Amino acid sequence: MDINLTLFGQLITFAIFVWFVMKFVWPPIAQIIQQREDQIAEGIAKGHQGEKDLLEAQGKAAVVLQEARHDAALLLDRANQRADKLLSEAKTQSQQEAQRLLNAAEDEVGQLINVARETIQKEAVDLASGMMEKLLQGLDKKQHKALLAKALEGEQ
Amino acid sequence: MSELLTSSEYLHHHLQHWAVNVLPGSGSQFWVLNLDTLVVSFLLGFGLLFFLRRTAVAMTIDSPSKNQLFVEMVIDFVSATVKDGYHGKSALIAPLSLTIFAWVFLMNFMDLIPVDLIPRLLSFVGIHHFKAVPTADPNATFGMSFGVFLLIIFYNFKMKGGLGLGKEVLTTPFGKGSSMVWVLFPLNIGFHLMEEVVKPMSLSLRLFGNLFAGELIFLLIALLPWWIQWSLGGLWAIFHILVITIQAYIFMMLTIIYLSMASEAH
Repeated sequence: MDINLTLFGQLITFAIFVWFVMKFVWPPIAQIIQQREDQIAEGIAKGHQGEKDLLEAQGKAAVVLQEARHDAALLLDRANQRADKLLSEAKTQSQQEAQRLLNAAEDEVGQLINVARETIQKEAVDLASGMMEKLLQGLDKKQHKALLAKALEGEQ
Repeated sequence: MSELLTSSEYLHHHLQHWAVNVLPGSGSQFWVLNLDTLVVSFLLGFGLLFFLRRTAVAMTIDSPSKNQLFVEMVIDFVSATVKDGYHGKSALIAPLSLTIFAWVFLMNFMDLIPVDLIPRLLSFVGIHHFKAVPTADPNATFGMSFGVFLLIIFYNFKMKGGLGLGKEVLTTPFGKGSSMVWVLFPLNIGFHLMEEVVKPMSLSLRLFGNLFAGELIFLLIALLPWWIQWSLGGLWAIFHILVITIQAYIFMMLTIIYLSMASEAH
């Protein structure tokens, strides 16, 4: 175990190596490692964020869907109500119309009856007066009086 | 090495460095350079830095290569260890820890290459002594721990200032707040000197001891008859995979802790 000049040779070599590593090896490698670590951390953070966003979106979608369902139900309800209302209105109207037509028809029938009656009365009077004329021509004054009295009696 | 060696000759041969004395005339062993330690550790470190730099340049955010993922894993591991151990902010500690961990691991890994392979290959080109494990050479481990030691001193001054450091050295651990504290100054200085000097010693001797012993055991196993070497050799190699990783980790961990202690007041 001899200590000799080799020691200083080794010391100088050692110093140069350390200097080289400190200057040209460690900093670039440490920097890349740092960047890689950052990138990996960022990727993981993004993954978590994506997961969170997805959950949030799913929640939102569920809410929107429920609202849409609710709205649709509401609309359907309203449409049904409206249809019912329209139907009942139409029913009422048609009933009224039918009643009106019926009334008008009845009126017309009444009128026709009146006209017919008048016509008949007129014809009956004409017939009667004709017959009367014919009868009266053959009657005397006495018979005439009795007949008149009988007719008046019948009238009362 | 076709001639037969005795066991002790074999061991002795393997424990010699490929060395050159830069001041041959001085007669001092201090001017010796262990070329094997220097070359192997430099090649390993250079390969490591080349790989790291190439990966760093080619890094992408979206489609990482296998190399990138591997480097990221190592860097994350070192980063986590540094964050646990060092609570201040520093641009140096983490790269320093990465360099120590990866480089020491690679140097230790040379221990798993068969002990005779590299020396035998190099003997063909005229290099007859070669120790392929740099961390089994105390010069390598002390070289690194000395660097860490200098950083500890630097951080002590930087974080606490000359005055704060002086106060800490003089008044802790004994007699803080007492009016007679000056009596304990020498004791406190002694304690602090010991505390600081022990740190690089413990760093480098632990690593050196583990790897030297590991190599020695491989050498001893290599002395067994060839048909039984695989059993002990395999067992020891598998165990050693754990040892070299743990030793690299401990060196890094202790460096972080020592620098953390240097940065924070007691």
